Formats: sequence, C-alpha cells, structure tokens
Amino acid sequence: MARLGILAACAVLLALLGGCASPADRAAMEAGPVVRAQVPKGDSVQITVSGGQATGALDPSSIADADLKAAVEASILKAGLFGSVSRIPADYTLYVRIIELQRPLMGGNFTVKLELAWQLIRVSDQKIMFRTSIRSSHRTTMSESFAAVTRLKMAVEGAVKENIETFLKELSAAQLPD
Amino acid sequence: MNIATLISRTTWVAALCALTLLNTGCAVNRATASSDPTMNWSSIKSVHVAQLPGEDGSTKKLIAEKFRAKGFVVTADPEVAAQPDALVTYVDKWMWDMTMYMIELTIVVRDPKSNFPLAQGNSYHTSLTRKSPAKMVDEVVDNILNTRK
Repeated sequence: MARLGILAACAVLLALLGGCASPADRAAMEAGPVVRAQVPKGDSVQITVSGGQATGALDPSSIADADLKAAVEASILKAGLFGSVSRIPADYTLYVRIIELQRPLMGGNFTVKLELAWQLIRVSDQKIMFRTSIRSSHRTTMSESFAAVTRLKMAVEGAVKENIETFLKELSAAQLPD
Repeated sequence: MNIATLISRTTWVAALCALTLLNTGCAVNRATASSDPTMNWSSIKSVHVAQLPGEDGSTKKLIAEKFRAKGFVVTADPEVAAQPDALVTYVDKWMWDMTMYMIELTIVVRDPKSNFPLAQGNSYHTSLTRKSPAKMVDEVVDNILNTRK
C-alpha cells in the first residue's frame, strides 16, 4: 500500500515535470483576421527574430525564435502588408526582438507581460523605415485551463498574438518615408 | 501503520503534488542578451539609469556602478540626466527559499528620446544556482556589452 502511495506521488510529479516542456504554439500566436492593410507596404519582406528561447525539458513556456518568426510571417501574409515573406533578396528586413517576457512563477490566474521591439529596414540603403516597441499582456484564468502549464502557455501565446496585432495595425496606419 | 493512516497520507501527498501542479511554474537557468542590428555602440558614452518604481534603489545602484566600471559616464535617478546617450531600465524579480534571492533580472538599454530598446539582457537563476544581486548585474551587463560588434 505504501508503494502504491509513492507510485501515485511519482506519477503526479512526472505529470508536473512533463508538462513543463510546453512551448508556445506558433498557430496560437498568429494575429486574428481583423487586421487588413488597405495598401501593401512593399513587395517582399524577410523576417529576423532574436531574443527567444526554445522551451527546455524543465523550462516554463517560452517563445522560440522560429515559432515567433512563423507566426509573424503568417500574420503579415494574412494582413496583406507585403506581397511575400522570406523571399531572398527581399525589399525589406523586419527585425523582431524579444525584449522582456514576464511570466508569473505561481498563482491561480496567470498574467504574462511582453515587450517586443519591431524594426523595418529597407534593404537597398539600410534605412530605418519604421520602428516601434510594443508592450502587451494577456491573462488566463483557472476557468480557461485547470493545469498551470497550459494556463501559462495560453497567456504567453495571447500576449504574443496581441503584440503582433498591435504592430500590424501601427504599420498599416504608418506613412513610410521615401 | 494501519490502512486508514496510509490512505490518509497518500491522499495528502497526492493533494500536495496536485496543488504544486496547479499553482507553480518550473525551474530554469538561463542568461541571454541581444542588441539592435543597427545599434552604434561607439556613440554611447553616457547612460542614465532610471529607477524601477517601487524598488529601493539597491539594484539601480549596482547597475550604475557596473556601467561606471565599464567606462561609461553614468547618472542615476534621482540625479538629473544631462542628455545621456542611452537610458537604462531594469526589472528585477525576487523569490523566497529560506532567504530572499533575486531570481530574474532584465536590463534594457534604450534610446533616451524614443524609449526604443537598443539592447537587452536577461538572467534567470533559480534557488539552487542562485547568484547574489551583484553577480546577477555583472552577468547581465557583461552579456549586453558582449553583443557589441
């Protein structure tokens, strides 16, 4: 009976540790369909993302550079801001840097705060066409998910999604210099 | 030990594990830094360290001392910033495990006019590999300055 108790405790502990390796999902970070540019900003853009980190076996939910890049690419295409993404050579390079990702360590409701730095550079003359720093946050409650790992993952994804949407709105409304 | 006691203890262990599962994140150690690809480090000679609201100023003082030791002209709140080349902001997070310790520190070097982040560094060390606040500041600032090209 004592062994049964230890096994049960180990099983729960394994579930806890296994759940830690739960990276933010790229599809869940994509901007919604509400953002739509009236006029494309250019023919092509290539996207470079830095400051992210893959989620390790024991890490809390993180944002991998490749996943954020894929989410930004899909969002830009959906918004119609550029004709194509990731084509080289491209007219523009969009640099996205993860500046700050604040995640709670414990609690019932999880609020994640995120700051991303966005910078659009024209490749031909390396001119900075547009740059902005956007802070976003997303809160998930226990009613959305009972498991802390899932709540944290959802909060990270929500903060990224909101950040991308804000960027697309700002860039869509911006008058780029000649 | 009778069966009732054993079941009771097992239930408590399972309940504690479940509580942990529901209310906590996970353990991790990391140290990262990145900077703007267009950033011109040679133009940055002076920095102003802005104090985090609610912080007692001890972390701010350590950051100011570190940048000063690295050769920058440094001012810090509440001193008046005399047109610095960069503004330094930070966020420190503390945890308790027998004693309080700094679990995470993020330092951001910003354009003083637009507040745009030019470079940033982050260190995160949980209890067993905890570092003193001074060591955390050393690690983050060194990693930021190592991004200089």
